[in-house]
Amino acid sequence: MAINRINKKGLFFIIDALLASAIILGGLLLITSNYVSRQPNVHLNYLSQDLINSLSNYHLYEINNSYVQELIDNGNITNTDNTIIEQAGEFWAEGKNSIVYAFLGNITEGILPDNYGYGIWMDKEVLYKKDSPPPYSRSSSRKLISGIGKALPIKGYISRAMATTYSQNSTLIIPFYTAGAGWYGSQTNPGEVVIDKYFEMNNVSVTNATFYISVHIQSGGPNYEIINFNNGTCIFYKDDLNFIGGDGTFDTRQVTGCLVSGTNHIQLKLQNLGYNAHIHPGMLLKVNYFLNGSLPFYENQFSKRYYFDNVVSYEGSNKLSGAWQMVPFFIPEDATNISAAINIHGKNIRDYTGNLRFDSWDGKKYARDYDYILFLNENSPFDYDNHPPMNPQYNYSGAQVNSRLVEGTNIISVYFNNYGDQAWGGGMPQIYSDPINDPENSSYIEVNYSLERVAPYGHIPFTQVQEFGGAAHWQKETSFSFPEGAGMMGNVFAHIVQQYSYMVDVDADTYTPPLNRVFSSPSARAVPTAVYIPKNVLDLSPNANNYIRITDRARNDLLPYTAVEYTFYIPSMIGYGRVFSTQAEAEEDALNRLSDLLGDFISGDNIILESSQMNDVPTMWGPAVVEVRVWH
Amino acid sequence: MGRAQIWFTDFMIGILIFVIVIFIYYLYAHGIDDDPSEIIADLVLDAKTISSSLVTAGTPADWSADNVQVIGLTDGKQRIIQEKLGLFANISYNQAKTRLRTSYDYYIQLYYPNGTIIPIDSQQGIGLPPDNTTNQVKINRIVIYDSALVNMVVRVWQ
Repeated sequence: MAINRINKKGLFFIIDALLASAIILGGLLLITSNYVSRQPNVHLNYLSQDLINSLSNYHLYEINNSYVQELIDNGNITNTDNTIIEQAGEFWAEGKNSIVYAFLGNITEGILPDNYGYGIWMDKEVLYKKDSPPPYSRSSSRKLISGIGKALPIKGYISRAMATTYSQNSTLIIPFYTAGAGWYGSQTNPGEVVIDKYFEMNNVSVTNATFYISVHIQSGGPNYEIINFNNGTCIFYKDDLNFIGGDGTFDTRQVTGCLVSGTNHIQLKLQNLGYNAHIHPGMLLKVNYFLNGSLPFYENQFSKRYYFDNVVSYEGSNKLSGAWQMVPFFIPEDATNISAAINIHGKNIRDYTGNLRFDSWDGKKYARDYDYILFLNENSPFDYDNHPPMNPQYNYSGAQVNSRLVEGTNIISVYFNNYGDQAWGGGMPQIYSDPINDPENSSYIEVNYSLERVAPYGHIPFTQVQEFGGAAHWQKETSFSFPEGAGMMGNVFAHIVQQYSYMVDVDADTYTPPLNRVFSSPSARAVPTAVYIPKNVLDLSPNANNYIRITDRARNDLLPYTAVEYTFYIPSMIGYGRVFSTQAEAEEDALNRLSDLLGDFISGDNIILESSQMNDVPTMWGPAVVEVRVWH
Repeated sequence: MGRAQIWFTDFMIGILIFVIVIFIYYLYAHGIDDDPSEIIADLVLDAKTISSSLVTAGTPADWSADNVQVIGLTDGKQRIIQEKLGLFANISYNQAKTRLRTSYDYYIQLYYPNGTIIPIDSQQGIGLPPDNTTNQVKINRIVIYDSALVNMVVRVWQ
């Protein structure tokens, strides 16, 4: 029995070993066979790439498919040059969701094995999807297509518009140069200066004109005719004016009916009894007008003459007379090839030989040495004459003048038989100018320069004037912004209005306080009515503030009428806009856009509309992202 | 003493059986694997190379049997060119293997989406049809052929 028990124990060992071996062997075989039989999956990436590439290159004209032919026959497909993706995009853009689903399903059906799912998306919006089987592993490929946009037409009409003639309400500033003088007379025989100004206003209809009168005359004494428009059309008398203290006066008058289309002539007669009569800075004519114009063509070569006003000084009871005038002229900061010529013509000039001494720019000087003095941008004479003939003419060429020119505001000052508060002429010395009838013999400055560009063709100039306002003060500042729609900056001027003046500084910037000094009086009383503000210190953006500050060094008041005049250019044309189903809609849209562009400034009169029919323009919309996903 | 001898003999028989079984597994494993995972990986790699080559225009793009460097069957835009298909069908099998840069056997077929085989030069396919008992890898590519989207099936096998 004992042996049998031992033999049974040995049998158990053998059975245990067989069982353990079978389990281990089975496990290893299972693992190995499973490892060997699993094949890698390499299809998904190829399938999504191949499908999107094929659909992007497969043209409708290639397809032999009854459903596609049906779509062609019933007009849903109009362009068989389209690829499958392009046509699907068009259906998507047109909202033909059921058609695009059937279209893609028909073309791609069966192209992938049944155990694969796939779908096509446009801008993340499903166009077609085979849902079964659900995704376990997924691959995606994408392409961009242009020319379509959801709910945007892919064919239709676009229009653009251009105004070839226009009408506008605009503003014109005509500054009067500071000039004098009528010297030291009496009530019965006052000293008098007569100033004749000529200017042209062509093809405009004046809607409002205001004359800003800033003169120094005797407030007392007899009444007399002081202002005459167009040989009697309008006449103003001294006692009509409102004197605001002392002999300086500043006043405004409505002169709308005084102006004519064409050449206008304004004559000023300024008298004085105990001092000298003259024009102060700030005398100007502001004209609001209505203009019918056609599109201007801008030259980039400029030749402009600034004519002097004709100034005659008549001696009064003390037998003294002398004529003077300050004329500002402007050279843009971006001008090149600059040159200038000056012609000064005097009449009835005295060759003074006495011993009078006057307070000059540099101490006392003998008047007999300075019967004629010319200043150009500096506080010392550019030229002078101690023995002038009775009717002298002084001509200065570019070679003599050019080196003294400055960018921005230039000032030329001419004195015959006087300087400062002293005169030594007699009779009726004159700064001669008659630009209408005798331009070549008139006194003038001719400025020549080139600009790279003024404004592109099709841009219409528009000018606005904004007064500084507020209270009179020796330092005044204002800010302005160019309007929305301004396509280019034009000339900007500050118009200085003072009752009394000495020397001024003008600063401009896009910040306050402005730090760019754009003008500084070169000599006493060299205060122009208009000061040029360079464009490079201003900003065209409608969101930018442009600041201008004017300071009188002697603390003479600047009056609230001091103004900034700024010109800008508005494009008169708009390009193609949205695509519309009909030409009429496209044209109406173009007209509305042009009207918005021109704004309140200008109305287009003759408007040319151009319309085009649009078909399959890739850049019209988009791009849209088309995506092919494949999964299993 | 006699009991201990009996126990030892049984134990040794058990160990012997276990070792024999492990040895049988070793022989089995050694027999199935020249390493099977490496072979499959090679087949996949060659199948990808061959299929990617065939969907290109080839090198040069207007290749002929004399100057072909890379065999491609399309216009470069997924569209099968009939002439190239004919050229490929008529290149000798060994030359084609060289140009396709594979040491394995290959077989190329075209199928319509409904599963119908598209004859190529009156043949069912190009290359050597695979033996069902061998290792093989199959890759489907989608191409344009004869006004339809079709499947190009590339089989590489050993």
